Amino acid sequence: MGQVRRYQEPVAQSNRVVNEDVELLARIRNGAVDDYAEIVRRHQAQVFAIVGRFERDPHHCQDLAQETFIKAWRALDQFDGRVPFQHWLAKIAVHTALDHLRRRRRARNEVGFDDLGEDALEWLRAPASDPAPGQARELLDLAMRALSPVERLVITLQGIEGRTVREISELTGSSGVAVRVRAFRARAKLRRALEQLEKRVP
Amino acid sequence: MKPDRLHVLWAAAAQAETPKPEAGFEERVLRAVRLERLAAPACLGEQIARLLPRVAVAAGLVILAGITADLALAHAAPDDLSTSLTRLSEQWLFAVK
Repeated sequence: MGQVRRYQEPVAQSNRVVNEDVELLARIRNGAVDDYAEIVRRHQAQVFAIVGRFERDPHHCQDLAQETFIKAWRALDQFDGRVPFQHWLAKIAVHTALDHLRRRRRARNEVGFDDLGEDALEWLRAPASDPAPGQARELLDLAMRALSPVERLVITLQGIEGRTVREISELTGSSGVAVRVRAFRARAKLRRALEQLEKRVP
Repeated sequence: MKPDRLHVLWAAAAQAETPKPEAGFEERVLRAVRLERLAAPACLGEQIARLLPRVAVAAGLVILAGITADLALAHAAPDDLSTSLTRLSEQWLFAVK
């Protein structure tokens, strides 16, 4: 299994950024609105890395990232500094992604081949080698239509991002047991959906 | 479906690039934040502060109107207010028929 492309900063850099964030946020709270651009610059990579797991379209991704930063702005008074700002922001990004999944959820849950490229179909027919990253995302996006938004969120964070149950629990605000149960159900549904795809592939 | 096929897909999907921010993304966010500030309902203190100049102007106008009316009445009827009221009460309230 290859290295997961997950956003992480080096520890020393992370500590420096945390301190600078605190100073910057204090200035913003005192009315220096323009300084919020610096906060966005510092954390946009992390926010895009999170919302990009749930939305492949670059334009929608920009909108989701912007929505995340606006929500953070609205809730800035509630940030008490007990956790690093980037962790707090990551929670907002995850909840924004969940809202997006709920909005986008289609009325029908059945799995079809409409949005699948020829390469992905080929891999389904004869999975001789590992799929290309793009193919894998196409296939997973399609199969994940069978999941509820929360299940999709949990299984993406666990399966693709490689996050632990504890991390997912902190990010989503759900209990560890709830995360485990949702991940278990999501895996089972996902396997069934992929089996369906394999059987029906033209 | 072999059980590990799902893990193969996850591992491959984890390598997928996520979209990157467009140039000037922070400016876009800042514009939205400024709009948000304009549209947001102000707190009570801000609302009062915003209303105060209007209240002051309205109060000034009311005072001005009162003075003007008093002057106008003073010219029209030389009696002062208490005299006028006394006369009025004598004529209407305590009038002997």
